[in-house]
Amino acid sequence: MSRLAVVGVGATGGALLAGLHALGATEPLRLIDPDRVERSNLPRQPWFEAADIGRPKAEVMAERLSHGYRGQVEPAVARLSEENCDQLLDEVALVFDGTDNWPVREAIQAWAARHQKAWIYMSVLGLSGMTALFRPGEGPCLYCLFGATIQQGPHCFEAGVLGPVAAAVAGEALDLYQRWGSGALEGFELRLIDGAGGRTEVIRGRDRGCTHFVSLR
Amino acid sequence: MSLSDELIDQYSRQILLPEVDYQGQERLLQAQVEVAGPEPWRSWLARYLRAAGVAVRELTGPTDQLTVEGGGRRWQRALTPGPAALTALGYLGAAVLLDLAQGEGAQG
Ligand SMILES: [Zn+2]
Repeated sequence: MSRLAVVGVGATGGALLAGLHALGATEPLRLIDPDRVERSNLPRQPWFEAADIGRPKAEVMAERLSHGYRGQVEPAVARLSEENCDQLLDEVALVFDGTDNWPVREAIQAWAARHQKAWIYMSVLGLSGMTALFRPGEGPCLYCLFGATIQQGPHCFEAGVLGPVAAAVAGEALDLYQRWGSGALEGFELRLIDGAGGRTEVIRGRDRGCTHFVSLR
Repeated sequence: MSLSDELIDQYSRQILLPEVDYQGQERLLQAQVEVAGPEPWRSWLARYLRAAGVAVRELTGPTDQLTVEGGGRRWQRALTPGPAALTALGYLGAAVLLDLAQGEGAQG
């Protein structure tokens, strides 16, 4: 079974893990997150409880999954970076990005390009979110989509977030993962989650040839 | 009702949403709903609503949909097997919270 890494066990990453658990998945999981549970996490990360405040998210989540998850679960209390990603993502087949943090996201993307692995982007802000599965050498990369000089946008530290919207993002991300796994995902899809309208819009991209990682191919 | 500093900290990311705001959070903390549907999705929806401040009672219910009732209103969403169930749960939870936060007279 291919090992999955979930980087960021917060609103989207945690919902994704809850989804994998609920769907009876068996893939070995590596949970990577440097942060500890805070009181303000509780409304949108309801797998954490008040008693967990101050404990590392990765460890608490691994403990929750140990009740009933059918695969191996390894927590890593660490911030993923360019320097440590080869080690932290060793033997990982696919990465779910639940960080909402551009430098970490860029480290995941560079790792994916080096190792020719797929990764799934997730983000949520306010009442909307996005998810996409990126495959090196096939379709666009993060830079093709958002520009090569990515600015750190408004962050959930200063903008509001509604918890269940992150669950909808995670559901769409899991659907991309399952379709990719069964070979049914053709071409690139950016899925836009509209939490106010209660619907997902799928934007299909044509492969215009990514030039950002060309030297690595 | 006014919110303690601890509650304001806990719900700060929701209160920052213009669609919820301080008043909406007060409404959420006074709201009561009943959630019905199959497990494990019913429990997860109930967790999200409780975590947002809503009082929730869980009931057994139809296996092919999630329903929420409260304050004279009703929300529902069909469930299909697989990851789409998580997506449906998320959209349903968002709709319930937004409507409850916006109060009785608001359009859903
Ligand atoms: Zn590119």
